[in-house]
Amino acid sequence: MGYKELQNLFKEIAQKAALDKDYRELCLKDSRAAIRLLAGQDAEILEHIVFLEEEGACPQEGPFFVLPPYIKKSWLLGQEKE
Amino acid sequence: MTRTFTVPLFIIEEHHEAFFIWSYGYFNGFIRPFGNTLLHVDSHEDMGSTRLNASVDELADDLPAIYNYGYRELGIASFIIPAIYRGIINNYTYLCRYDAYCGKKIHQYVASWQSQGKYFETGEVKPLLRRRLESDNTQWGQYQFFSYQAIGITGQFITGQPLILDIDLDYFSCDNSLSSAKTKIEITEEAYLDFINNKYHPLRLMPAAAFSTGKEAERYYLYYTERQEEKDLKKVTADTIDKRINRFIDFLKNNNLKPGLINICRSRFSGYTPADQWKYIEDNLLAGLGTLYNLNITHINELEPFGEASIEKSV
Repeated sequence: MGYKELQNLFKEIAQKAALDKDYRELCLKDSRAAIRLLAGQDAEILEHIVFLEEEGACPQEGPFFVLPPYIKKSWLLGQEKE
Repeated sequence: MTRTFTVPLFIIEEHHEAFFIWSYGYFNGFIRPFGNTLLHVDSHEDMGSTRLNASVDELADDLPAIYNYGYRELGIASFIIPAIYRGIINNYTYLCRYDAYCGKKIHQYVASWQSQGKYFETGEVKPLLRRRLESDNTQWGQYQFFSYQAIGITGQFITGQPLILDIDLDYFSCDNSLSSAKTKIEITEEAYLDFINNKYHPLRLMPAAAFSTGKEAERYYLYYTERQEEKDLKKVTADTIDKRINRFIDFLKNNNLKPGLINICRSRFSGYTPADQWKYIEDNLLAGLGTLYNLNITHINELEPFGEASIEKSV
């Protein structure tokens, strides 16, 4: 996978994790599965990524990727799914 | 921190060159192509955004093209937003002051008009953003998320993502009057007369009266002077520079920072770093950084083969 493809893939992952609670949980629980869900089963992801909710709550070094915040549904847009 | 950690350090002349250096960085495995943390050490945030002539989305994995794009399209205060939009950076931390200041971390987005990758909007991530992200009927697209935080030099800083340490020498002493910059260009007599005789000349009608004309030894010139500060307002003595460099090195040491890539921007041609101080600052900063890291130093001119193509403006 090329650099630009990776950039686009992680743009897609970030947006989905901001909107889809189930996908976000998958990112946090099983990053490989979360990446493959959007990249395709055959995609070659060279680096193992660990997704984090927030910067800071992690050991100093690691292949971390900090997710954007989950955007809750507001009362204007309907109830949040539990 | 022991001095066993080797880090590539790139010296650039002006700050828009950082866009290429960061790309060069992920092409060479120093950082990732996505999701890096930027620690921006500068007298200015450089978070401006202007409309680009050519889309940043059209840039392929082609270093020479990225090199030329940077010179053609990016300004010295508008190179970070395209890098965030591209996905290279998703954490922007601005080391802005010399005290314990710590601003609130704000989650933001950048999106492009009609998903074209030319004109960008930034804003805070709020619940109503969900409606826009889920809508098929919006003019903005290709959202990218990033966190923004400003901190002071005695603040704490931690990141688990690959770190880009982006230093402008003007952080240590700054001349916002740009008194040393040569910003004039010779024009024809006809253009000169057109300017002075037309009180509504488009180049007069700017937010600041930045353009003026003059005659020197029978030649005519257009001058550009931005809305800048008084001369020497933020220029400091060598003694203060030394103290600031020492405090900055302590900041890196105390936070045990291990950047994947360092770039140092001289800002001497733009004039933001005083002409008589940039070398002093650079030498002392490199000496300080050298106490923490094994530096592998490259000047951007050494990468010049990337720049053989024309950097003329494309329309």
